[in-house]
Formats: sequence, structure tokens, C-alpha cells
Amino acid sequence: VFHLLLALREGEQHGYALMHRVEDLTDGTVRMGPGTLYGAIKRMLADGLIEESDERPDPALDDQRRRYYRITAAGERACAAEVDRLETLLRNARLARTELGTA
Amino acid sequence: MRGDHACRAYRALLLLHPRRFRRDFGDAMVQLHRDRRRDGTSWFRDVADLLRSVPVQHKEALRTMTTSGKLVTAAITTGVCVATFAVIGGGYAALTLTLLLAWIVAALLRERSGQPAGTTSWKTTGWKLAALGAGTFAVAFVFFGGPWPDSWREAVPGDVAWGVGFLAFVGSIVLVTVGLLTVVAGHVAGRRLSR
Repeated sequence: VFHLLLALREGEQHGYALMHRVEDLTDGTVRMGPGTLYGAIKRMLADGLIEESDERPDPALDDQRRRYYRITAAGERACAAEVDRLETLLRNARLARTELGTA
Repeated sequence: MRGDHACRAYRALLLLHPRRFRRDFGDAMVQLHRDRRRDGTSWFRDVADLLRSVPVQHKEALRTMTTSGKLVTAAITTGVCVATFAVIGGGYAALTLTLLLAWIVAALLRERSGQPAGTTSWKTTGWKLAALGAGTFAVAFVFFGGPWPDSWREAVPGDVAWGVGFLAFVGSIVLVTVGLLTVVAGHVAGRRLSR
């Protein structure tokens, strides 16, 4: 879910683009199939973290069957909170490593 | 597997998902599968992912199901139990019924714990328990009094039928009684609070 939120912070995206962006963000370690991706999207929609976008790009440039999603304000907050949590975790882990190294 | 056949087979496998999930995301999943196939992703890889998501989605569907939905599911499962009785014998059916009952009680308790404390939730829970009891009674009535062939009746060992029947009828009466008492208790407490 966090990876999807990060990907959607860059703008509205459809499932296929989201899946590729998550792969890029995780250096290919997280690969989502359609079932996993849309299961996560369903939960995020229910939690109000993302919403479906009505706007569509030029029909000539894109398949109209694709559904686009965008992050909501609640999603932005959740994403920022998770970034803060990970930053604190990383800072503490580095501190612990330094202390262990000097002990 | 190639082209359209692969996509058709993938779409057919989507039937394993809950209906609502399929309705909301089925087309998008097929579209994504088609895009991934164009990228060279193996059909089996997407199918494995689809099969992994099936139990997850069913679990979520059960969690969010209303009480009436749970009762319908209970009725359908009981129907499956009847068929199981006829085909493989009573032991498995009795086990299934026990698991089903445990699941319904657990679901009701979870639903109850998720509600805010107050008399309204007591009344709601009471009605749900009473409805569950009435539903169980109705299902048991059809189960034991239905026009089933004699060969089916003979396939059920007498002690198993007696045990399941006793559990179902006594359980349903207890549920209805406890449910109605809970409704009355909630109503009385609500009137006192409003004074």
C-alpha cells in the first residue's frame, strides 16, 4: 500500500503504470500481479486513501477501459506519516549500529 | 497458452473471486493481464497471483458481510451439508456444521465488539441473535422435515442425525430467547437513560 501511495504522489495513474512504478521504486523487488494490485486498490479505496479519477487522457492516446486513480488528502497524510515512521526507524537503527560499533 | 484463449481462461478464473470484487475490478484485471502478456509476462504467473488473491478476497467479503448475508451463507452451506450427507456420510457434515456455527458466533462477536457501547447496539445484537435463531430453526426444519428421498435419510447414521437435530433445534430456541431478552434489556435500559 505504501509503495502504491508513493507512486500515486507523482500523479494520477492506471493499474498498469502503477505496477511498473512500484517495480521501479523497489528496484524490482516488489512485483504485483493483477490480483494483488487490485486487492490493494480496493482496500485503499475503502479506506479513502485514493479515489478513482473521472478525467481521462486523449482517447487516441489511451485505452478507455483503463481506470485511473489519484491520491486523496488522507492518502497524502498516511504516506507522510509512514515516511516519518521509516525515517525514525532508520535513524535509530543507524544510531544503534554506531553505538555497537564504538562499544 | 496463446492470445485470446489465455485471456478468456484468465477471465473464467475470475469467477473464483467474490461477485462484488469481480464486478468492481474484473475488467480492469483482465485489461492489466492483457497488458502484461504483451510485455511477455507468463500466463501462469498472473494465474498464480489470481489464485493467491481468491482466499484473501473471500475472507474480506465474509468480514464485511451483513448478518442477513451471513444467514444466507449459512443456509447455502447447510444445503451443501445435506448433499455431503448423501454422498460421503454424516461425520463430515456434522464437522462442517460445527465449524459453520463457530464461524457465525465468531462473526457476531466481532461485529458486536466493533460497535459503540450503548443500548442501540444491544437491541441490534438482540435482533441479530433472534434472526439467527429463527434462521437456524427454519434451516433445521427444512433439513429434517424436507421431502428428501428415503435413500438419503438412510445414509445418515441415526446418532449423527439425532445429535445435529438436537443441537440445531435447542440452539435455535436458545438463540431466539437470548436475542429477544437482549432486545428487551436494551429497550428498558434505553428508556431509563432517556428519562
